[in-house]
Amino acid sequence: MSQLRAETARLLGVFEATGAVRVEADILQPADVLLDLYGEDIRARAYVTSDPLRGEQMLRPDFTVPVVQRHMAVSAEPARYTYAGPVFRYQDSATGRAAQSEQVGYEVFDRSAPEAIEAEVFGLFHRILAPLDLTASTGDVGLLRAAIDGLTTSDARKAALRRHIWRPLRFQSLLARFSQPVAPKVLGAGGQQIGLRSAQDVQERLAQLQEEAAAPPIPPAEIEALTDLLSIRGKLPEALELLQALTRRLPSIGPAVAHMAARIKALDAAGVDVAQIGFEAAYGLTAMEYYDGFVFGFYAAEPGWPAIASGGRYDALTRVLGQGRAVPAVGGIIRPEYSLRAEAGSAS
Amino acid sequence: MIKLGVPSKGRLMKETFEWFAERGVQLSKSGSDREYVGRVEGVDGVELVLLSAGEIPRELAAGRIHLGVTGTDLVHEKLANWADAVAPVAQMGFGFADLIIAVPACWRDVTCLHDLDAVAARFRADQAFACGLPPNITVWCASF
Repeated sequence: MSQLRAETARLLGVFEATGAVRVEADILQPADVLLDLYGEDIRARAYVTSDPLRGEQMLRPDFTVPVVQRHMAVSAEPARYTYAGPVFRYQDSATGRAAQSEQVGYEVFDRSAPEAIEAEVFGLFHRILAPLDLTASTGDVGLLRAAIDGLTTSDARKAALRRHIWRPLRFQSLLARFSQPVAPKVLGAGGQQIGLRSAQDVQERLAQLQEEAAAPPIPPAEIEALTDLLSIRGKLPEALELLQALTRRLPSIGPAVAHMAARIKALDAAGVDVAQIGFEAAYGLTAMEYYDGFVFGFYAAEPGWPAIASGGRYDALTRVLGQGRAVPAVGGIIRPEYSLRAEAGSAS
Repeated sequence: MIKLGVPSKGRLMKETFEWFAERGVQLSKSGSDREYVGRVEGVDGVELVLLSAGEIPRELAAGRIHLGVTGTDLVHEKLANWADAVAPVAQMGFGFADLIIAVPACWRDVTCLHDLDAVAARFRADQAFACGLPPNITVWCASF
């Protein structure tokens, strides 16, 4: 326990040395905000409780939401925060992971060049974890989002694909569906107007369905290119080359690929050996997190361990919590219980 | 002595008894309906334990019974890492549940789950807009 306290203090110290302000967050968080953000899915992962006065409350599943809320309410950019404490999540397997685990985090809200901030955060985590012999993986959800935006298809279909980016199976099934001509649809018989959904909404969607029926399938070449994008993996420089080559077939990812090139340059300038850093285009797409751009994780070789550190960009989350005001945000957490264990492992 | 856990009442109990009877093992509840004691005929060394179907997964995992009859859904729900704790022996072919998703008939456009997904997203976007939240909140909601 004292070891854990020392490790937590050490990590907080490193983050504070960058000028980050130490912040606290309540363990008990109002459930409605988290449910609004994550959807009902989070009930399967977080501890929900209730009291007669405040209604449903949740044991914080992470610090990001309260830290963003605090920032949006009282502060201006640039701002850097650090925090430490327990978070609570159900564990659906007996991998020995505790339902209560410690996190030490670092969040940056800064309107400077995005790649510079991403390189700063990743570089810092990379330096801290360098002695531990971990594998770093990175990804960028922005690439897939850009690829979807560029598809030759209706906005409704793009929206459906974007909605399911984080559910790869569902995403694939939608893609397969949109690559075929629309099957003729037999509409329901109709009936008495009940419920909160307006008759107008039904009419609007019927009109949309009619348009959809005439919509051509997504061209096979685009489906193939999107599938190729999702299968790209390698060390950063190789992955970048593959992506640059793919830009000919998926022009809409051009800016996202250029952003990645700038990030690699910034990482290199920050002293990271980019040839050692992995990249997977599909990385982070199953993690059920709120990241919408650059994502990263550091892993030990031990099976069953969670990422020792993870993080990424989450601009859209700030837009939702900021009631219209958005801030570019990049952050990450380290799990001190596991950094300690990895340290013990690499020392022996 | 092998302890066999069987649902203690209703249709599941009846169908379980029938399933075993077809295989030459007579199970019965002894005494009054309220007693949770059972009898086994046709095979030696088996003791019948009548339990609620929902308790059977945990009793199995705890080792207090050795065989149990219950729903796959209950096994998945009640046991974390169920595959490490118990193993399915036989699909018994009864006790299926139908999941029915019903929508108002006036939703003429909703005839499959893809439709329901699209309509839910639209509804969510409208509600978010009405609450003064940016419509893109729906992206988040659907993502998690």
